[in-house]
Amino acid sequence: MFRARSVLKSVNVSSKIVLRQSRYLHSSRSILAATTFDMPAMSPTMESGAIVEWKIKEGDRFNSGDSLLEIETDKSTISVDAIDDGILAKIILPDGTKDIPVGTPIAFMAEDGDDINTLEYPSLDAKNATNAVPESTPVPKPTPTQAAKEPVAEPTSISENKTKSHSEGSISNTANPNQVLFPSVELLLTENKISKEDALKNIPATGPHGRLLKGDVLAYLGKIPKDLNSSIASYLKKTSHLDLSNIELRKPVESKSESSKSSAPTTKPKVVVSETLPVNIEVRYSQMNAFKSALSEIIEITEHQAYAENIIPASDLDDPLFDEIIAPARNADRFTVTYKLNTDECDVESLDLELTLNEKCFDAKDRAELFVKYFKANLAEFLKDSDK
Amino acid sequence: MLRSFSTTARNATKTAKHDVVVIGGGPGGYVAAIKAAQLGFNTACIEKRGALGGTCLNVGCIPSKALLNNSHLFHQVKHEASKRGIDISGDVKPNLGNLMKAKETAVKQLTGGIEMLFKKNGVTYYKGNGSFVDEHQVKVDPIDGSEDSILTANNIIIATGSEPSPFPGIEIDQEKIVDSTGALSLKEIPKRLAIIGGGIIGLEMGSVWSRLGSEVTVLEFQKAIGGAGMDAEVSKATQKFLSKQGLKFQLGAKVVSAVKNSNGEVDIEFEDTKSGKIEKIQADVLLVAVGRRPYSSNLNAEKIGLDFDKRNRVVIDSEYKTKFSHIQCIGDVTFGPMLAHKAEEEGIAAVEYIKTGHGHVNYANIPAVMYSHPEVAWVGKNEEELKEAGIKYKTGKFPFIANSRAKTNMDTEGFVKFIADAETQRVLGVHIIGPNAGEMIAEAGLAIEYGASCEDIYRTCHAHPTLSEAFKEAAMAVFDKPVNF
Ligand SMILES: Cc1cc2nc3c(=O)[nH]c(=O)nc-3n(C[C@H](O)[C@H](O)[C@H](O)COP(=O)(O)OP(=O)(O)OC[C@H]3O[C@@H](n4cnc5c(N)ncnc54)[C@H](O)[C@@H]3O)c2cc1C
Repeated sequence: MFRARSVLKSVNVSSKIVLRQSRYLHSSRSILAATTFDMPAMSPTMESGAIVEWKIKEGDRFNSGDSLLEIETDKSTISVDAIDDGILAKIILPDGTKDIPVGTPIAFMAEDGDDINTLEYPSLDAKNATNAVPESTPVPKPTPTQAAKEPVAEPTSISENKTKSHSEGSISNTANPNQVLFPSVELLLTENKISKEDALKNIPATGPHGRLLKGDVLAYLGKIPKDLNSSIASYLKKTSHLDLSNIELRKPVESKSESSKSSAPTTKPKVVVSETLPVNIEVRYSQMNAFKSALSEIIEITEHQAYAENIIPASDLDDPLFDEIIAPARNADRFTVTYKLNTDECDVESLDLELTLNEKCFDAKDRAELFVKYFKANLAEFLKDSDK
Repeated sequence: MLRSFSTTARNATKTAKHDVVVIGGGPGGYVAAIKAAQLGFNTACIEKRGALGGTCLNVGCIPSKALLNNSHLFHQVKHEASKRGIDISGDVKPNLGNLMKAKETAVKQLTGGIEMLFKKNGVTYYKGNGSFVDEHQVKVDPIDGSEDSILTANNIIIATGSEPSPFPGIEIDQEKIVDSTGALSLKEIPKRLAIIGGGIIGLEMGSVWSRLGSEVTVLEFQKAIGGAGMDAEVSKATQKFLSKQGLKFQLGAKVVSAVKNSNGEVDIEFEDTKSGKIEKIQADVLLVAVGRRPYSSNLNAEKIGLDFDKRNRVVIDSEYKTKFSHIQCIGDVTFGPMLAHKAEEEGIAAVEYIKTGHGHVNYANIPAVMYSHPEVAWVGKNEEELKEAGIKYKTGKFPFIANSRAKTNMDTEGFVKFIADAETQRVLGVHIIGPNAGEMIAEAGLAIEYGASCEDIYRTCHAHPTLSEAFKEAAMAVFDKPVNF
């Protein structure tokens, strides 16, 4: 079996193919049976493709690395190479077949050393059923729409479609007719001379996906109380979900701007860093708003600089996540900035800068001082530009 | 004249559009991102750590298992070699530097591997902190100082994980007083290691350092070790085996304070809740392992008004949707057990909900493993839970001392314990303490997923001689007599 997992790879998305192949190995391959080789997905978005040309003939051996066929997608033509040795037992879809959905069987492969004349070929129809019995006659009948889907462990024929109601976790009482019986169940049925068909028809099944359990048969035989199985099943079903009942919400956290406001009126004297900076620039009344918004921008940029600077020395021992935990959040407010312009008529003479520190952050003062340093430089540059 | 400043300032943001943006690259987030890309979505993942894999790969499951495995080998070689017929001339000593190197190599290979998987599957990887601008926009503050990005997304998945819970009043310095992250990178083997918290993380780290030579004392507030979910009988056995290895346990210990003294030691005070007496111990390193808490700082979730519960978990519905149907949340930062495989399952399911409208995680069947020696593993219900639910059950136990493989391996501590419904014989829980328990528990998961009865397990042929025969015999012991005991 393991060999078939990796029989083939395409040039660019080998893992996809391997995955797809291995998924239905259990249903498509039995001992000494051929393996179906399906239309590979050459890209995550590829839905169908065409076979340009098979590079080897039926019955040919191939070695790992040999090109097996060329496939055309809407984007390109790609060669599909083997990554293991094997034999191309039978081609299902010949050169030139177009619009083949990904996952459709296009050939049968055999193991190196298999005799392809005596090999069993899996029935393509049965491919999606859980208890597929490989038929011995090789009548490959491609069923593109069906095969294009991921194989599902659900019966696909119309008569069986009612069992689709066995959606996951539901405690249904009809047994899934397409199941392999548990050994315990099989034994109990034989001992009590109940046929499998009758059992599946008449015994309510409480297992996952309509599975008939030992307890179900015991209840049917009257050996244990009738409703035990379903009470267990509903208990288990209840615990199969996250318990999202009785959630107590925490109080909404104030968003940052509010918290900085509300942290201000504390009884403790606030800690501030302040400095008066010379400005000496003429700003006409009509320009005052623009000037102020430029100043706010400088403040914002300077804040970024002051917050971004790495003031904790790096250490091998530190995990960045841990830093985030012991250090205040990177974007927690270290300080709030206010300023006052000292003006004389149209002349802005100087600027009183005041930074109120958030004492909860151990690095507030350092960052505030960085801010003042950078602000001086940024302001000076701005004033120089503005002078021109 | 005043304009020049503003233009330069405003241009510094890139924008991009994605179908799915995942915030956090841990087991929940990276798996969700790859799955989303595989399902054809244009997907991005934001991770601020600088490496993918989250807590699990960087400072959790993987590095701890590297240290556990190698320290166990060391311990075996040192203490068992001669009785196993291997003579070693010269000293058997741990080389901490190389132990750490081996650990780091494993971590690097695995985190690098995820980055490759991202490339292969076409997931765009943003290295930086992600925070909400509004319900559809996430800002990335890059860690490398490059320009910010604003990502617009149809669907957003929050997978920001968890962080060690602090112990109020005890300051972590990652040298003398450490959390699990620090305990994975100690610079030397401490003579005395004290651990607050006898949960899985505390016991795993305690095992590592005890094997390497530390005197380990575990202070646990509860009356039993192992944390919630561990079967009481298993917990007792675990304590017995670990005590035999030299770990000391103080149960019912309420730690009051822990401070570094001037000799570079840590003074720890705790109240013995039984006697009410205050006791003092000293250690060279103190590990605070009192659990983990959801992590969502720096996400700016307040901005969009996401709901959190009292324990700071993001509130979700059964489809992982927050109050905004296009914003989902998975993994440690929301409800359920804090386990890597649980986060992964949810990552897949969340994306499937986006794609098809349904997904599936069976929370009644999530295994838990402690990688001590012997290992401890369980899945399904324990006796306490069933008593509470009023379900009649039977148990069956099989000891490894009666298992031929365990005997030949000279590794016979522990047992397998089955819990099954008393009447229907359906398997409800399996609890294992013993060699290889972590691998063996997978079979129990399969049995539970299929609704198997104990009989179905013991009628399944198990290879001889393997440890798994103990599993089979324990299943048999529930309603029948085990053959080999
Ligand atoms: C010592 C230890 C041992 C463990 N052993 C095991 C074990 O053996 N088995 C097991 O199942 N579990 C184990 N765990 C638990 C496991 O690690 C977690 O359950 C798992 O990692 C959770 O996955 P997650 O994706 O939810 O979160 P995490 O792994 O925590 O990942 C979240 C990631 O999101 C990132 N992030 C957070 N916020 C942002 C943001 N705003 N922007 C960008 N990125 C952000 C973080 O940097 C982090 O990398 C262990 C934990 C520890 C600490």
